[in-house]
Amino acid sequence: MTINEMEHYLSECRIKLDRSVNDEIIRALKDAVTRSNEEEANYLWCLSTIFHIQEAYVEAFQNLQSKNYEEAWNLLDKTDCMLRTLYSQSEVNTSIFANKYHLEFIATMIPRYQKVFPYKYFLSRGAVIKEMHCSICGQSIKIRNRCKHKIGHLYMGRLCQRIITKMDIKEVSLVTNPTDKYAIAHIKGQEYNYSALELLMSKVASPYTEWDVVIST
Amino acid sequence: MDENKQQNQVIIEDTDITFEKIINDLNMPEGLAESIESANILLLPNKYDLFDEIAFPEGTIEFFDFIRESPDKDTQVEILADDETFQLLQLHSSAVELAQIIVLSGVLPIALGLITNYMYDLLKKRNQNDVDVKVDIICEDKKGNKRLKYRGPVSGLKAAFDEFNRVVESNILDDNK
Repeated sequence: MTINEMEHYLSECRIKLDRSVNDEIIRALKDAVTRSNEEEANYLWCLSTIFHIQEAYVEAFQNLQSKNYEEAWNLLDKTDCMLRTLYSQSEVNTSIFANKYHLEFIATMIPRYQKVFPYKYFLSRGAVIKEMHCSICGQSIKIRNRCKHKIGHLYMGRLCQRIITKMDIKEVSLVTNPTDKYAIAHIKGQEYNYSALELLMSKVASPYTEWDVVIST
Repeated sequence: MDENKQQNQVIIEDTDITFEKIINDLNMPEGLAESIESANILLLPNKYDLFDEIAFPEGTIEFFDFIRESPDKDTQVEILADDETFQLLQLHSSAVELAQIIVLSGVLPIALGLITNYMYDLLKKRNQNDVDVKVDIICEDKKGNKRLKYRGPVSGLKAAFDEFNRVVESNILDDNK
């Protein structure tokens, strides 16, 4: 599969993604690394991330259809996180991705779906990070003595992240707008009411159908 | 601790906090005294009473790198920490908390500009239009020290910084009379 074919595949609105396409992207990425072609490797990392964004978004929609609401919620959050990661790296110009690969549409729809969910309270941890390492070279990250890799940047088709190896959890809070949306608060013996989502899903045929919601009081 | 969607809060007040007081009160990281004492922008750890911890807010490494790599030759940026004592507090709130900063009045406009640029850069990276931010900045001047505490959206920072600049400048001018 050529890069052009990969781009073409990702540019179409698909309701099911073929994982062998991502396998092809990863194979091409490894090949680019072998040739020390960092620019190509980084670009292929972006294509793979776009594949995962589309896949998670479509799977979220399918889970909504199957009434697996919490799984759908987590997949929407995962999609959102991957979108932010894609946009935060600066090695590859992502401005052309937004419309070509429907990322702008997905980014617009995620909060609209989230708005219809009944989840309002979440758990959020407060923790002191004592030790962390660079995901690229494994070096311990200190304030004054660090490797040159910067978080969120791409290095030869790999994203630099921090691996936390030692932390103290200090507290858990109940919050309404957390960073980690997957930590939904559940009240023992009580179920969430998903009737609004059920109504919505009876009207929306495809993950690429655009709709909006107005909540009136 | 949910600090989101809070009311826009701007507090400008007098303070007796100075570079010298901070350096004397806290344990100076060994071997860093000279560099820290010559700084005109200094990042300080926050004291989190709830957790009984002194730590820097999450994102401080990136913030420190951003302002330290500023091409402005007038700035001398330091952080009051060494490798052994440095630790980050991760609150998992979507709001952004910056490390407390003390600056000399001569570089205040530059420091405020750097904070503004950092926040807009962060918004761009997050693909967000706005986010709540917590800023605590102390401006030291021989005519008197002022402190700005801001909690609110990034979109309100400029107005708060303009007001803080105005107060600091008028304080210096008043004392010159």
